[in-house]
Amino acid sequence: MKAKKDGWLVVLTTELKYLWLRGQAPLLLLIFSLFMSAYIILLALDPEMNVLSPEKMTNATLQITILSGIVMVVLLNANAISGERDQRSLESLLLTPLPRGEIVIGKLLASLSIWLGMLPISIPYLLLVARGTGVANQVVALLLTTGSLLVAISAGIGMLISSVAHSNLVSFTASFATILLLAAPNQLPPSVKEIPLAKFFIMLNPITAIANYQASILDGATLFAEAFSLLSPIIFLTALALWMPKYFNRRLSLEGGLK
Amino acid sequence: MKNLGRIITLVGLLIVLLIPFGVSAQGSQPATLSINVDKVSASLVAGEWVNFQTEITNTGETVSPPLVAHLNVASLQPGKHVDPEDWSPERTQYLPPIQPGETVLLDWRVHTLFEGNFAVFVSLVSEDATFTTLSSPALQIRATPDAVLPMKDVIPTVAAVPFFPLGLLVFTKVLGRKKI
Repeated sequence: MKAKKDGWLVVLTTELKYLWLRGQAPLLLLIFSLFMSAYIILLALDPEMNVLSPEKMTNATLQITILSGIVMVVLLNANAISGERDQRSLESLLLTPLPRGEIVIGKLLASLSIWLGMLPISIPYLLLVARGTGVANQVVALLLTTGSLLVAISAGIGMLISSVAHSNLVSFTASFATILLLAAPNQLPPSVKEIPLAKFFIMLNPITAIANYQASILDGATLFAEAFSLLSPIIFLTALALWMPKYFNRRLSLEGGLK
Repeated sequence: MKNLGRIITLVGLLIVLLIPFGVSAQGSQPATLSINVDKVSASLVAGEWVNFQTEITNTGETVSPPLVAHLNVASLQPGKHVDPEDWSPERTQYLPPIQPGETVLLDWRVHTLFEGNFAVFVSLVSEDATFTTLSSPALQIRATPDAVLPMKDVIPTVAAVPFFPLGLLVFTKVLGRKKI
């Protein structure tokens, strides 16, 4: 009974060991830090970017950091179930005396540990860009709250797609396509974003709602002035957290696909 | 002939009447003073200071009256407003009378607060304001925007941070071999 109760913890511990002690997570963190260093150097060298207001540069750096976090967790989660399918190890995993939902939750939480590793690495870069402005504290607060919220949602989407994908290739492609599709409205021209219907969909979409909130805060709004923007991401994440274990308990199968 | 005589008389009268005005107008010009700037243009990053000198010479044969030299800053781009008071800590300098042939050097400091093209010039007026102001040639300042991220500040962070995950990678590789 005890093993059943702590099943997700057993999976989490095992996954963490594989992820961190085999060097996979530190390698990803090294790649991330080299990428951020290259990005900051390019920012400093680009005469057009390096004259933007510090607030805009800070926002751009925050977006890049969170986007990197999303890519990392989607990469790990898209591989979580479909990877096991590809390696033909899912069968033995499903035969273990653990509820399938707990297996998935354990894997999901382990993948989010990469984001926890990314946070202390990204803070020095963000503080470097935000120095001399009043947004240094805000940007760290946004990274920890909205960044974590967005990364968790992306991880959930990646895991859902991985559970139904027949192969890793399908899982990666579908996960990144979904994230890109959700993030695409961020690129709409400001005049289009002001249309009431577009505004409504931006607030409904958790990724664009968070981007909107971050831009407002770094533009001088108080942390609570635009808090309603966070409503849809919080609802989305809560719904995912409550629904996912039940869904996986019933639907996670050896072959995958939508049944 | 009678008309011609009247015309000549009228013209003569006009000339006699206008002469005092002409003399008076000529007398209001600071013809004996010249003012020059030691720089023609300066290119710098917004936020930096420009130092320059003006050279005021009395080229005439009489002593000049006491003078007031006043610094002005004009934006050469529409829509950009400049408050010269914010750009220079000392905009006005008072000079004693300048002897014939004497040259006086004045030092000026201008703080370029933001990017853009600006003209800086110094105007001279006598303390009793009896002559028309005389202005120096303009010093053209081209201020480029300040770099938000100077490379010298970027290098320590971008070089140091990757060592943290690198150290972690080495550590976990060593530890991983023992545990797994």
